[in-house]
Amino acid sequence: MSQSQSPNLRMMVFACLSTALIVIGGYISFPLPFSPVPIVLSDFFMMFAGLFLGASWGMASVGLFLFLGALGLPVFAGGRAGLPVLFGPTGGFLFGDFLAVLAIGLISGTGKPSSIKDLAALVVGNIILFGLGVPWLKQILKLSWGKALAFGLTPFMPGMIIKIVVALALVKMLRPLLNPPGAPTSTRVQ
Amino acid sequence: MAELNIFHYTPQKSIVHTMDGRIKLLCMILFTIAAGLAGRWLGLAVLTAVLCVALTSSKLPAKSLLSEMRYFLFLSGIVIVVNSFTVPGAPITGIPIHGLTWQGFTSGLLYAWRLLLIVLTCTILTGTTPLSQLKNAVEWYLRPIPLVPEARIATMFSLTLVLIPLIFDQAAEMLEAQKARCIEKRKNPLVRIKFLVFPLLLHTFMRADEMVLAMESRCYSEIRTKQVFRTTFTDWLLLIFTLSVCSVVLFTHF
Repeated sequence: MSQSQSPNLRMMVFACLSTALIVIGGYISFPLPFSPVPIVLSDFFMMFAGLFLGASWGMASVGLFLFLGALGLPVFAGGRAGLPVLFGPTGGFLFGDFLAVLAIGLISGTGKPSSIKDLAALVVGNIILFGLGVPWLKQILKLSWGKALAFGLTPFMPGMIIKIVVALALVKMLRPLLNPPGAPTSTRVQ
Repeated sequence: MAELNIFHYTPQKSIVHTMDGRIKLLCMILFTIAAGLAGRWLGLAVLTAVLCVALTSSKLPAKSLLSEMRYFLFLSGIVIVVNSFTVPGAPITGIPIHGLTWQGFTSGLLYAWRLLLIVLTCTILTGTTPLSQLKNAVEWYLRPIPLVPEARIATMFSLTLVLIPLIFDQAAEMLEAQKARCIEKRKNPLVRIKFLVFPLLLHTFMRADEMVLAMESRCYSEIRTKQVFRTTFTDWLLLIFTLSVCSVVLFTHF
């Protein structure tokens, strides 16, 4: 097992991979008939990036995702792109992703990693995500609170719980990759 | 497979290929803003006409482009159908399907059209500009902004575009392998997803790990020779043209 000389480069490539996963998660989207917010897997990979990469690289990953979208590459949910989407009705969720990944990284990254801390981090992250996304949605579409919650929160609750559980399991499996000695990384390159 | 391989370069000898990458990138940003804000049919029609001219002059193979965009075509079809049945409005006379509304159909069509315009813009840009040039263009734009590690961001930008098709390839490989191991006998979709997603992510991260090694063994560093860009008269013409088209579209919006 050859060890990486620069942990930075490794984290950079992993952050790019997380961005690519967030993009692909956005393509796996189901438009909800009654709501402007689609169901996507992006936020699952965002949570994963926060847990796996930590606060700074997680933010780099989500920031890169927003940057790609702002440039006009079709990376946002369902292949949308451009600054109008970033500041449109669902923009709160996109910026919320950015803040949530920071919170997730900070909470799970301090001290020893443990599943309970990860769980707490994900819950706080989701509260931030929806806490920013739903009021933003309400403000831009000028909805009532009840309607904004029906559009932006309640349809996503079951999915959110599944995503949290899967993200926890996934991170547990992949975390050894970050600490190369003894990790099941590539053995082809000696 | 590379199911979603729209971000790739096709070498050709055309006027669009020879243009400056920076100008093309700026034009794409302007175009997506215009397409996102255009609320009327006229604006979208103007943008489509311009893009069609760009597409024909870029000499990109239209047939393969269409097949690469099939995912987005599929998606816009879904959007049209979903919108047609859910947006309230007057029913379309002459079509005896319950719940189909004219307003829903037009709003779905508008949404889908906008989506395809943006995808097409992106396809033309990435099809006519080599990734390295695109990367250098991003770096060039970020250079004047203080406190921004422009070389790193540009590298990450190009790495991400490289990694997206890689994940799709990996997924295709994984599906084949599981078919060979009779995954079809498992009827529970959750179990199937579990058997697909976990190894898929593990393998993509391992591939990324190998990529790190490859970059290191090729002495990757952020200090590199800067690309020299040359703008010609046609580039400025393109920029002025895009600006005027976008302003016309925005004017029709208000």
